[in-house]
Amino acid sequence: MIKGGWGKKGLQLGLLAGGMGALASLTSCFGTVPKPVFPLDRRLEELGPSRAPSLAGPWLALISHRDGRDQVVLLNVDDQRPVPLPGLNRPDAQPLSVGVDAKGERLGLVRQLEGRTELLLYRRRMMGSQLIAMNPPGVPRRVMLRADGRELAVEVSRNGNWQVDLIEIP
Amino acid sequence: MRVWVGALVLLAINLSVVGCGDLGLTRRRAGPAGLAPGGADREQPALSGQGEWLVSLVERQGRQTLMMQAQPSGAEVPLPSLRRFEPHDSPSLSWNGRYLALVGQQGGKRRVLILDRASGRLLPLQLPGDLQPEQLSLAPDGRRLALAGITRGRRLVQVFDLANLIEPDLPRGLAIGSMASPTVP
Repeated sequence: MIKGGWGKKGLQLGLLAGGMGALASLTSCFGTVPKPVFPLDRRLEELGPSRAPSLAGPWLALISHRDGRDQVVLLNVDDQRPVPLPGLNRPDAQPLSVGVDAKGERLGLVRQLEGRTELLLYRRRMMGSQLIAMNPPGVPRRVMLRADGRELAVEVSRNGNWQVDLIEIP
Repeated sequence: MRVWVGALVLLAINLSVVGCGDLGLTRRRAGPAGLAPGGADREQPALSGQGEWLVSLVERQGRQTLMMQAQPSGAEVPLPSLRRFEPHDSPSLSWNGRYLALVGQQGGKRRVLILDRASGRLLPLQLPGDLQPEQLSLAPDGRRLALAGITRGRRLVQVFDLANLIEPDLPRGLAIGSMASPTVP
């Protein structure tokens, strides 16, 4: 029995305060819990296994394994709808890396096609791709498109080293 | 005559849009790689929204370390608060380079971290479930984070809302509090 004014209620309050303190210290130890965007996450689950995300403005580009092959998917995060990318996903190509700009107008893509790895710039409004040669010659692996759509940052294998190329887009 | 002109116009459009090489593209160097030896590997580049900042990964003292440089000078910005989370992986920058998101390591566990360069505050994120982070992309305004990882043996992408955790980093000229998508010049 606790003496000196500590009744059952006081003990309960003390335990509650102690528990909250422990929880607070655990949270600070392990980090802040971010809130998932739930409707979008359901849509992403439906897409199947996915990787290589690129987020800019309301646009999310990623590579998803659908219908037995990897494809580039572009989603509007606000309404969770995929938008068509005519001419970008060839059945004989394997996409490796994708980047999108904040307008969702330009996409940078590294893909393997017929035994070679190539870098492309896709313009959605024109529904067409422009092949971008590596200069000096090299093999691209990863691409990131600047949010304003005006520059590509590319990871390139050249003479046994990984290098970074920055390519401005008019 | 009209048929020939039309055909020439169509040919010109095709050449400019599809597979015509890289006419009109300018290339620039990423700036010197700081303390990294000249022939060292440099991987996973990411630019801020308008290209003022570049982050990439270099190997220093046997560990994959994040290097942040002003562009185009290549001047390196020290990031001492990230040292204890080496090796680093998958860096991503906000519009003005205020926020730097990355996958770091702590006690053998991969952690998602967001560094606010304006305040120096480092925000570790606790991911739900058993999601093992592999690759991330921070929205340029800092409002969302896309994360690719493995959970229960399945590879997936998840998007998280950061609006209540960090304030937005908007492109120059856009009013704070604007909920509209950034208008890119």
